[in-house]
Amino acid sequence: MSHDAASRFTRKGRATRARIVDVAAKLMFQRGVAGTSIDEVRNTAAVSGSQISHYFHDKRDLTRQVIAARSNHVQEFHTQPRFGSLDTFEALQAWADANIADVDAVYRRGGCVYGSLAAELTEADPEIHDDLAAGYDRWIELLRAGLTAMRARGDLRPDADPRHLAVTLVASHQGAAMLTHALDDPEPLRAALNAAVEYVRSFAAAPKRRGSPTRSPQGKAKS
Amino acid sequence: MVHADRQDDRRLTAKGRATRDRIVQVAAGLILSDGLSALNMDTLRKAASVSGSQLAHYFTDKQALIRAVVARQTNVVLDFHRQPKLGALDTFDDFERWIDLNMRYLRRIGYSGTPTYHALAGQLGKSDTATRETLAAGYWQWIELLEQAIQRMKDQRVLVAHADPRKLALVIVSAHQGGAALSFTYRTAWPHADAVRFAVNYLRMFAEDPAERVPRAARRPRGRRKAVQPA
Repeated sequence: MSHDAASRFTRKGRATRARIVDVAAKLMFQRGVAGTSIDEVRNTAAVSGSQISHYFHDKRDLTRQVIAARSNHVQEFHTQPRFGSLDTFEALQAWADANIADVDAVYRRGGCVYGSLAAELTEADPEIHDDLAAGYDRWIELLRAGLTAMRARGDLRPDADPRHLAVTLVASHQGAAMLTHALDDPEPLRAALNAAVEYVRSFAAAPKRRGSPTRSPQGKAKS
Repeated sequence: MVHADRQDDRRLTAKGRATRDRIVQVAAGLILSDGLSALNMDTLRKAASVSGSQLAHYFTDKQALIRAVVARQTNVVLDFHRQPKLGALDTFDDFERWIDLNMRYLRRIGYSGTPTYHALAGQLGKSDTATRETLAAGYWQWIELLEQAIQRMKDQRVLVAHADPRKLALVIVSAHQGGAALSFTYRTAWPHADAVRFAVNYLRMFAEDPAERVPRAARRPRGRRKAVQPA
């Protein structure tokens, strides 16, 4: 959908359109979707009404573009080089720490940039739900892939369920972001993200013992 | 926040309470479907079929109304946790039942049209400071209820001494709210199932009895529930 729409515009047009989406995303983060009018977006982005309607059919269309932009934002956050492939305990802890580091600048101000859209749009139409669910799918999949690699490598026990753990990380993040925003308190985010990573760690495979066949020559002698 | 709202239940007759309750219920529905900004006393008056003077009798202003909407849903959450089936919510069996009842509740209400706490939070969180604080007060009551339950588990040596009741309560409420938000987006139950399973498994990590520390599987074998379903 967004590709077709985007390809109708020139490079300059696409840049203007992206700037409007960016302005709308920021306003919606501060005031919510319902609290953001097209007029405010127009004024803040310093574009004309005809420019807005050239790029977006209506507010619903603009909202869908904001959802897509925020989903990309989540994707970019998770694919930063410092997190590697999110496939070690250290990387997962770094992920939790990086979120917690944003607690004052982001989470206390408006919750999660993505989740607060989803939370407000629970009664929206099925197409918007599909957009939002697709964003969550991408997010869960990113974490699931890393956790699956950890299990394959033997870092996680065979009974660890990568999908359950990935959903746990995302759901904890989303709920804690809601609480940290509503309570204006960093503690829910800190507690929930550290707990979720600790939970993943509780599925760590027991360290290989000394004397195991792979390490000890005596082991070989037995066979 | 000591407000002398006219909503003081005790001063109302049974009929008055019923009318007030209906107004609050209609207001919650309007907030959910159209957002807080669309809610005004006029639309509410029409939707609830009451006169302007009746409305003003029960609620001095919009803020008083919002407080009543949030208070009503807070009570739904607290009552859920205090239902006899959950015992004193201070054993692992109680918490296992908490998972089952949560999932049963979700299946009953479906994924839209019910102003659950997280759904209200999604609508009200970004409106104004007073509303956000009202929302926060409800969350704190929920957190404190769990905190006290977990403290009892510690006192009874069900949980180890280093278990932190406040932190555990925050983890559980966060997981619950995040799981619910995802379930409402996907319109399916599995995100909430994963989230509440995590919440109780995490609590289990602090069990005094090593046998209770073993995490329970998030996904039950298919068909297992069929046996208990009424014909």
